[in-house]
Amino acid sequence: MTVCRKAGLYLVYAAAALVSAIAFTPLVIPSGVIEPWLFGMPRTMWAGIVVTITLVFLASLAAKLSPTDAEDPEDAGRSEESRA
Amino acid sequence: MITWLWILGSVYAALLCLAAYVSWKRTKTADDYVLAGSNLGALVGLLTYAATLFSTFTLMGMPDFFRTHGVGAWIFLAVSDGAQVVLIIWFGYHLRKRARARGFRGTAGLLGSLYDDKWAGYTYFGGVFLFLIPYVAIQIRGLAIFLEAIFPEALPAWIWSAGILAVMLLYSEIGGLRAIIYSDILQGLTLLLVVWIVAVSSIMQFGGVGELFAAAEAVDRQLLSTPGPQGLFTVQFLVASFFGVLLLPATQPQLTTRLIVIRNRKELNRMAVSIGCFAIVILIPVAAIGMYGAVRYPEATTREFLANVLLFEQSGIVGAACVVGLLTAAMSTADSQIFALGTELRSLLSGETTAVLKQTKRAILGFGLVALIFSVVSSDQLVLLARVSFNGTALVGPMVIAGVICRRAPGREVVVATAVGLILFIISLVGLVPSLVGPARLDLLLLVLLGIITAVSSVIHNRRTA
Repeated sequence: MTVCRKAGLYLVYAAAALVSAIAFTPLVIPSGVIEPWLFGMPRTMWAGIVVTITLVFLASLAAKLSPTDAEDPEDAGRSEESRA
Repeated sequence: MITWLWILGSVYAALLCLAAYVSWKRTKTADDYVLAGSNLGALVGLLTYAATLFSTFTLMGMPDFFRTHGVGAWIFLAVSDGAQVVLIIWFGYHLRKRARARGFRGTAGLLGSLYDDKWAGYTYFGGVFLFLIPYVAIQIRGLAIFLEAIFPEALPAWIWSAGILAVMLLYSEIGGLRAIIYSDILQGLTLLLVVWIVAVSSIMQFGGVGELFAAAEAVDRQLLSTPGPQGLFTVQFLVASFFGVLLLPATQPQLTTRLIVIRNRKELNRMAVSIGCFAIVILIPVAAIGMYGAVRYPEATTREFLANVLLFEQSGIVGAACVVGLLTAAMSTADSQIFALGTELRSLLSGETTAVLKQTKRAILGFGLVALIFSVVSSDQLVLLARVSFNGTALVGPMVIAGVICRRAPGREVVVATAVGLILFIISLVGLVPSLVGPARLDLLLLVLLGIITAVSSVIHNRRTA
């Protein structure tokens, strides 16, 4: 796994944490506010859907960036016990 | 509807028998029985994980939650599920690596090995036992509520519950995890179909999504924002619930096992992303059904609302499909949980393989009976009971995650702190200690404290190793 790909993966995880945190701010759940409407849905509903879709998109990026079993050097014969 | 119910119910029963028979024929060893050969592809993985995650709680509890508390229910579950997908990719990678190196018989056994302390395994097992039983019970309870509504005065709820449990235990005992996975596939597809049919018919009665939300606004404007009409969805409540749901793959053994039994990491990652898509696809119609209920049945009880919207308003075949959908939803989640408890117990036992497997099967029966008793005495508040289960098991999360991801597991202080946290949370549920500490919720506070203790211990232990 290249350094660049590893950094990209960490960046995706950080973005997922940030997006999750945003879901609990007034940007998504303003108390008692229902405007603006989008596609016939009140703010918390559509903003919540956008947050969920973003998280799934970030997950797909993480899936692309994470190494397969064969690519991971730590899986290629080096046992846990020998590292400990 | 009764005729359709007999037809669809018989088809489902026949498929279950087939699943149990095929699984029984294919199961050769004890590990095969509890881990289903550990060779699942992404699609089967998706359906079994989704069926285990989305249960009666989703099909019955969540529409009622939307109806009563409004759109904040989306943040409560869907956002947490989205984040959970990312966690599956990250945690699944580390978990599978550890499982390859140390062997995997169950999370409790793995923790005992990683911490080099059998009490880590016992603490984990104690935590999941205490908080999974209510979750199993609500599956059975939810279904019994529904069957009582269809056949009023035919049988008392506890006999319905006992019948469901007997069928579930029978095919689990015969076919093991493979039979459960086959039944999950049936359930995942049925659940998806049923919620969409009901949701589309609900939306069409209003003419569209916009009209449905406008009608909900006219009933109670507070349904369309947080904290909702009853003020439930405070930021603290949502954050505490978020962590409860987020940590499920690490804290609830029926889900952890499914990360292990996938063929390879590529398939696991595919499965994770598909679960996120599945969550969106299943929760959108659930929200619509809930909003429909908020408009049509604002004052109805949970039972009245569910019976009307899922049964009496539907055509015969759809109503029957709802019943079968619920039956499969409840059974596939509850059997996975009871079976996972058995698997966890097995991972803590040592001795001759056949004797241990016999003990495991007996334990599965025992767990089923405890769940049955709890289902009879529990309340109808399905989502809130599920939330207690999520937040209770979340308390073992820091211990599990640190044990799995750190090169060297943290010390015994983490195990002790986790046990104390679990005890405090339980006694807060029975009212012996307050559930609020100042302005903070005890469950959230305990989770944060356990997270800090675990992080500090991990840093100290890994620095010493280096």
